[in-house]
Amino acid sequence: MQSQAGWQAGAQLRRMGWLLHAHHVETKLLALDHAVKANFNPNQPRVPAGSADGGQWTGGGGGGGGRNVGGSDGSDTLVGSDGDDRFGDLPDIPKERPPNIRDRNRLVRRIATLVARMAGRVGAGRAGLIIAGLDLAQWVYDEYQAYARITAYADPPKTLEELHDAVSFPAAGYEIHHIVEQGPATVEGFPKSQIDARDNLVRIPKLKHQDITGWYATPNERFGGLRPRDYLRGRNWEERRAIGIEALIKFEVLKP
Amino acid sequence: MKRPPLSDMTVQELVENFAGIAMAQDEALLDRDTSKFSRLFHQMQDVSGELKARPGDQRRALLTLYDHPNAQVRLKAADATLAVAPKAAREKLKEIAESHEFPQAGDAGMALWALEKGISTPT
Repeated sequence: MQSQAGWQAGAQLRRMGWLLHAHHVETKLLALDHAVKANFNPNQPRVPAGSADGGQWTGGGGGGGGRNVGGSDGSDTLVGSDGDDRFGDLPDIPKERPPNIRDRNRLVRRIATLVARMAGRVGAGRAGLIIAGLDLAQWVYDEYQAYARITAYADPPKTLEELHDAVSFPAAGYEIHHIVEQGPATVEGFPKSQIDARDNLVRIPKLKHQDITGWYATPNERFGGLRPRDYLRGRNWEERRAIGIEALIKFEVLKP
Repeated sequence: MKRPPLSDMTVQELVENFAGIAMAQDEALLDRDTSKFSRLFHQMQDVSGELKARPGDQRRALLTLYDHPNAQVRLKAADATLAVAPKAAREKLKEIAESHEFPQAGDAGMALWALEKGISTPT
């Protein structure tokens, strides 16, 4: 049985670990923020791993570049627009680990969504490179295994067939999505065999799933102030599917 | 401190109020808090309605938010000006739809699609 002293030492280590990771994430977020604002080029040369500045961007070459990771001045790599501040304030990382899981999940969601938004600015195909280059998600992964969610969010759009096929292969960072929303369709008496049919199921990034579900669940001027989910009430399967397909396209999950 | 009624606010104050609500919406979206978003949606409708009721339909004042740093503010400003500046508003929606900034990019794309399909007409 662990002694009281041992338990206290373990708790102190976990506390220090959180603090170190929090600093790490703040640094990386700041770097990513600067990099995206400066039209970051992930292919820009970087200092080789192993040296003191390993992984940081060098000043030479490349059209973009962010402030050096690690807090040095980095003025040689700061190019591009300084005036573009589209992401607003970065989230403060609490210096103490939030005591309950709800707060921890909220924090991770905020970070993951902000990072994905920033990364999205330079193109879905390059977002994964940026995330990997910044080594941002290690802390998130350690704490919440959310790394998969972030990288999946950077997936380029796929064909409908690819999204259908992927349903048979569950993976971290992805969820099964019903093109015609499952809950309302069930309530309105559509048969389960139709709701859960292969052509109504797709595997999509979890955060995109949440974005799309959120869109259905919030009031919308373009649907007469109704939630799209309510707008579709009483409508036939084809209308529901048309909107479901369009949402997948507009949220860049499905190729147009 | 209690807020003054919308009818007592200047157009500039209403625009600032509109932007503040949109930024709070953005926070609600980040937190996946649909109840909070719904409340803010109706607050925004009230502000937009107040601007519309002012002489000359002052919703055009929201055009100043088209370059706001926050994507949700730009999205909502574009949406609220569709009736008074349709060309500029559609261009702004298109720009947001192509921005990869989610969920606003998806919402803007769906708004353009709904307009194209005639699901609702901006008034």
